[in-house]
Amino acid sequence: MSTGKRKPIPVRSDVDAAGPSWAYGKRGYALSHSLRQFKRYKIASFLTLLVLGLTLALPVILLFASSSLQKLGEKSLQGESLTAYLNLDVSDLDGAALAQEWLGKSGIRDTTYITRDEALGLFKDNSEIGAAVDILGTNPLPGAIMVFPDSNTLESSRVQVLADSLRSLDTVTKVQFDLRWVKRLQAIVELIQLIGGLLAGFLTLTALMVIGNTIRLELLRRRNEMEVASLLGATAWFMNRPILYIGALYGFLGGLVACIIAMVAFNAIRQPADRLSSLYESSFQLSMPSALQILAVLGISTFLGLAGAISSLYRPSQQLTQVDKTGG
Amino acid sequence: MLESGSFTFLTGHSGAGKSSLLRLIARLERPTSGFIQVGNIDYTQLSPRQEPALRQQMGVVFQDNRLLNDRNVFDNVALPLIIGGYKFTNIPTRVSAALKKVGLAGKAFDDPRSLSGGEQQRVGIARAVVARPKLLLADEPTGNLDAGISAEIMQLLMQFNASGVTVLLATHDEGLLSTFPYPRLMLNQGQISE
Repeated sequence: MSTGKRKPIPVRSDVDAAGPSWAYGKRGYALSHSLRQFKRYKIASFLTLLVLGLTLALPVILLFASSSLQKLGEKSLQGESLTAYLNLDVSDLDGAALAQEWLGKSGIRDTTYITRDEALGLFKDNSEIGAAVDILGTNPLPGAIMVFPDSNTLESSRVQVLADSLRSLDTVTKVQFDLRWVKRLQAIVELIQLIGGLLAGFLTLTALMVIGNTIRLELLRRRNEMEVASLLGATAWFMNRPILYIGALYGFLGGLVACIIAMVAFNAIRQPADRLSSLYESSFQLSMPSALQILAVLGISTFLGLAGAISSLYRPSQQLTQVDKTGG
Repeated sequence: MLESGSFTFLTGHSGAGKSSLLRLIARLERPTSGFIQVGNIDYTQLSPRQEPALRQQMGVVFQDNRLLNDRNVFDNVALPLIIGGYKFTNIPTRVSAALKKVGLAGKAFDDPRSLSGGEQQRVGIARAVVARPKLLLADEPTGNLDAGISAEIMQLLMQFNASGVTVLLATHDEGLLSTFPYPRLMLNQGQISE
């Protein structure tokens, strides 16, 4: 005969059937039923999120890449300078003073004065006909000031304005600056941004349609619940709130999946991009997205989800909440 | 005209307009002519925004009970309380009391689909009365049930009526009408005769 104590059988009362207290408020009810939808239709929800994630991934990658491209543009132009050739009668002392004076001008980050002798030395070192200058007996080269524009001025139109302002000075005979590289780079960046913007627009529209369609299916699924709730005195807001939450959740989670896909893609192309960059002796590095960028993506995608839900909710919900006219 | 606290049958053949009249009272439809007043509420003065609050003061029992199968019995019965904005501290005790009244104590955890037809209808009644409505509208609540269970459901509705709830029960079940001698409103092609 066993003398061991028996475990008491737990007695469940009806009160214990209640879920967590937060799920019985109006907002909590909406949230718990939105989350339940994901739990109930796991595979369908997962596939929808995957479609959303993949759709949003390209705009997200373009967004992340555009900031790296922006940095590339800025870095590439950091070393760019204008060369202002001075009159031959400007002495080295005056030239150096002029360079110092220009430092105070807006749009100029730094200046370096190159004396006439330094210019001659550079010419001899870098030119095949450098020795020919000796025949002349005098130094024909003028002094020059190298002007390094600040980052705000590194835009073709602003550089042009700076060059024109220097050219108008009496002491300056010529201003030389090669804008081709700046213009080309800017054109490439603008083109990429335009294509990226268009693609982002199309894909965002696709994401909206995916969310809208998912919500329409959800409305059909909830038809009975909405009818019953309406009969029990639920307001339209009470019935629509779970739908809006589902839309926002799809948007948020879709954005999260897109961020993960984008980061995996970035990680995969990082090394080859760095290798390519080093071949061009560039310091450019593909940078991983910042926390702020990720938060922005999640915010935008949540908003998209809400917009998708609202777009499909407005008319259908009014139709769906009309109760069947059956019976005698 | 129904007296407050009365129990009245609404009778008539199929298609006579019994359900339509209940829907008019629940403000799910609007009358093309005529006048409806429930208590002090004049329906002609009612704005669409006030309609949900009006419905919260009524309990509705359906022939097909219309339980939600994605949640347990407790959550089905709790729905009117959530809609009415009751605090959680009141919800479990109210639901538990309502289930006890309809003889379903201990069934709160159950899936509605696992219950018999009579039990499902009792859950429907518990849901209709949990928020303690003043008016209970029952649309053929025994239509799908056998005579024995129909009598039990009637007993339940009579209990609620005895506690002061006005009951309007639409039915064309002659057995029920002859067994329970309550006043009748006869509907024929949209016209009422007592």
